Amino acid sequence: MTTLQLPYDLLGGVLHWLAAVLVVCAVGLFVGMVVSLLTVGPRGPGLVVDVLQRGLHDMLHMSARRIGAIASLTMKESFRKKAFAVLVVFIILFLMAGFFLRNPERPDDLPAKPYIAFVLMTIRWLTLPVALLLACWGLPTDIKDRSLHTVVTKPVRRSEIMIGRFLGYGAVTTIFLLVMSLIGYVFINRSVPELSQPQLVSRVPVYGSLTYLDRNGEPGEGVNTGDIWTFRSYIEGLTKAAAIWKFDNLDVERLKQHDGLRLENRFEAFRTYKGVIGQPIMFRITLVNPTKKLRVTNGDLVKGVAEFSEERQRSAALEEDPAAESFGGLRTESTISIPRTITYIDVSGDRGGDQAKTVDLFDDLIDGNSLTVEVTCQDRDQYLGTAQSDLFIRLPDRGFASTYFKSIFTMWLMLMLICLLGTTASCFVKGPVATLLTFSLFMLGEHLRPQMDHLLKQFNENDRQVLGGGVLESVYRIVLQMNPSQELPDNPAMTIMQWIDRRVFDMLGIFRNVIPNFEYFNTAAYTANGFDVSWNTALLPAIATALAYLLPCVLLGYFSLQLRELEAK
Amino acid sequence: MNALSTRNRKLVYMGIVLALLVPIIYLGQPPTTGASASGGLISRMRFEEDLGEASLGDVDPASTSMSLVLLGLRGIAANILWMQAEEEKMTKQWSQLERTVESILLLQPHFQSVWKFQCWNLTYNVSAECDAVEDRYFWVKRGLIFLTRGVDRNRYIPELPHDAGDFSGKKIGRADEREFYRKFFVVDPDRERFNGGPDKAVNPDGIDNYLRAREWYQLANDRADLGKVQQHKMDFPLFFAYPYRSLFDYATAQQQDAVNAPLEDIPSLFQDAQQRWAEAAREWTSIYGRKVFTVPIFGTLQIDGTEEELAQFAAADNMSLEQKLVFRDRYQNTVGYRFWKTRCEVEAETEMSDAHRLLVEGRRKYERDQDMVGAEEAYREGLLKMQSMFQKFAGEFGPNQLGIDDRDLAEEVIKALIFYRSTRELLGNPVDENEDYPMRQLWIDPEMQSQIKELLEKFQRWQGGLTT
Repeated sequence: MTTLQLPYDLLGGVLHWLAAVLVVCAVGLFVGMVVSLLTVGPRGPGLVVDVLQRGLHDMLHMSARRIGAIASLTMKESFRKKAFAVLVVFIILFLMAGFFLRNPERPDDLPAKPYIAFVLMTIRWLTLPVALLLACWGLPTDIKDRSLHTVVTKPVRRSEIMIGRFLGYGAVTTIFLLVMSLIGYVFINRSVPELSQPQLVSRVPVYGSLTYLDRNGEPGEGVNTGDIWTFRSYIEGLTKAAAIWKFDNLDVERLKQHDGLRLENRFEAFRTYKGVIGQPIMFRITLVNPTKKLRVTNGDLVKGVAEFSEERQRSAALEEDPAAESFGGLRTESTISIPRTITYIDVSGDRGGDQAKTVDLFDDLIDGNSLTVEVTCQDRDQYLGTAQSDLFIRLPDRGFASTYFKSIFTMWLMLMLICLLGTTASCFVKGPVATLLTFSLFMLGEHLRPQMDHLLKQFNENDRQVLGGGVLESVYRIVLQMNPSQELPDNPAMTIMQWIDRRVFDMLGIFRNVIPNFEYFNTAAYTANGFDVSWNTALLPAIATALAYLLPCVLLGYFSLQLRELEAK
Repeated sequence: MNALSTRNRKLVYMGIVLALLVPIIYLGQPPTTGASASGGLISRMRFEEDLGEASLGDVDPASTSMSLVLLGLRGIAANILWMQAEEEKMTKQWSQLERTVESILLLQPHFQSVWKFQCWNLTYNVSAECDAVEDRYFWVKRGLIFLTRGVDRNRYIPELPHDAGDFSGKKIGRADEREFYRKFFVVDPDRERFNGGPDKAVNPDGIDNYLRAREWYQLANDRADLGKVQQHKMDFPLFFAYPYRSLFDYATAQQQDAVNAPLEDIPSLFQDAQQRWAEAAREWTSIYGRKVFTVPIFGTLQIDGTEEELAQFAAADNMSLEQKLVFRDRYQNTVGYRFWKTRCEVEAETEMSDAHRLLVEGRRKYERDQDMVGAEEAYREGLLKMQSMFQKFAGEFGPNQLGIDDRDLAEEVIKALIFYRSTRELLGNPVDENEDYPMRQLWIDPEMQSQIKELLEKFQRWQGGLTT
């Protein structure tokens, strides 16, 4: 995995959500009051209160039976619209998968990763337009064809129409997703070459927190060796520099059942000189118990860096063949087994006599329920690249189906959210606008969010300044061919321009809180890399995000439909 | 209003459709076999004018259909994929990068920069990121396999096979990992899959990497000779020299390999190298030297053209003979024609081959066997033969002409002298500076002093005598 594994702060998220909902409600109420005052006069605020009361009543007295009836009608309508034709496209794409996954010279050479990524990406991009178009065009078409008139004359609440519609589209999309995910699962299992089949696993990692010691042994940062990608920090070989992982809240009793510990690493090597080409850069693992002042390491805990082992297909013989030694020197492996009983040479006390000691991993080295692992590089002037997710405790693996269907589940949550947003949007705008609005929200939340977060972080941390300025300043600089570090002229026009730009950033800061973070729903990287989709870092945020929009969207959709003039086409 | 009934109208439409089918079939009928002058009018014209996909190289139906499916959005899709490839390269997702590159190729199969750039990416950038030498070779190979497909898909572009020659020759043969790569090229590290032989996708005949490079360069020359697509990589005489230079590289590598080869293989390695030098000498002078080039500004030339031949070219190009002679000499200098000609002649001599072999044997006895008496003997004999060759090919700079022209040869001799002096010292019989030991003239040549100093320091550091 090449992402930081940060557990989701649910309490913080809920508080943030409450604040955002309250602010949006307050703004909505205020705007409603003002607009009603301007359009109806002094009676306006009273009408607003009436609408709210009626809304509350409608919300509290919804009938599951009626919602179910509308949902089932919505499904029937979708069938009639031949929405299932998309499944044909899906099957054709799978038949042509060879176009994208081919390797003409070596059909068995591909690792499992591209297959999994292809399947999940195809499902995602085929179900997305279905959910989007169904949800955004249903209600506006009803209004246009006046079929909604027949419905609203029945004893059906508009909140029930909105929720029924959403559930109906949700059900249709769910059927699509189920069929596609099952086909995809069979496709992966059948297509992944035999050599790559072992990569179809769901590793269950336990991540720790990472700190560094610099070359003098002081707490500090790792070194940047010039890699553009700053994901990893590097520690210098044969100095006091170290990367220290602390694994907290370990389930020691569960670990004890396996009579040892399995660590897995994704370290990278950086050579400042070529060294011995056939030999890997070595690193040492030291297990530390700070309370007992124990530092345990031995020759078995010195390993060679196994870079990018998941990025290419290796035959078992290449990994194990002793004849290969003559070419490749030392073998490397990404998994390190630490036995329960470890023998080491104690060099802390007085020298002389038998210094060999034996410790128990669980009783002596795990401090309470936390384990500290120190990693150092063993080659002088060479560097070891490390990141938080580069070392983890690997619990017993689960089946591939587990991670695959968890990814499908987060995708399902995303589709439900799209249906919800689409249905809500279609309650107050026409089909094309609702589609554009929902798709824009998706693009903003999925693809532009990192850029948006980056800009706002810079804006907030850098005295309300962004390198190159905001919209107006950027345009000004581009036209005058000024680079971002050049000073702007000091005059009132520039001051006004920057003031406007800052207000735009302020607005962006506010709107960012209501744009859903669709990145949470894309867990394909976990599955493609053979990792479990963890509850804390992936499933929980996805569920929380999807649920967070449910109530606000239902309310917004309901009031929009309530106040909408259905005669208008 | 339309007077026809619906049914009649449909019949009229049907008639028009059928009538239009006739010219469509006449014009658009596809060729019956690949790229041939069969099929409809358009197909035949396409073949005659070399405009068809098949005339450019092997056709990939997936690629063609992908371009059609994307309609006018091919450029946008290609741009997005290029950005994605860069992102994947930055985040080190190599297998994904390879997939993205494959997708780019579906869209831009005849854009030679895609092949070159992405081959370079895999061969040089991705391989350099890996620490295990087998992994590095894996990506070098992936790049090479990738370029091989580019060569097949673009049958008239000379630069692609030339690049394949560069990757097979220079990347495999001159990288820091060359000792491994050259072995892997013949015996793939994945022995199980390739049955202890080469990966046939990069080395179908299991030959040395320089010989494989030579085949690629020759293909590049053949394509350049066809002239359908011009090469813009380098001046023509330089471009055409590569197959012959590969032979030089091969012979040199054979001599270098002898240092670590099993003892019983050493004579055959030198014998093979000597034969290759002789072959290279013949090809360099009788094929390359006689080849007629037409180059911009200088007109038609022969690198080794006689005055009579050049006079004919001068008359045809409306130039003077003197101009042609100047241009010929300039090209001879540019391609190092005379240097390589002499080098080949020297290396093809049995005495020179023996000299190299004896120096290698001396080194092995010194380093591995610690047999100082044997080492001293081998070095002395080797240096004597070397001296004889230097005298035979003495030139305007005196007996050291060979060493001055060829710094690699000078380095070999200086290293041998350093070891020779060391063996003498270890045997208690140090070299007296006034003594007439073999190749003394090179040791005292003022031009060589900086190189001698540098190599001496290296030797002392290797011996553990210097700490810097």
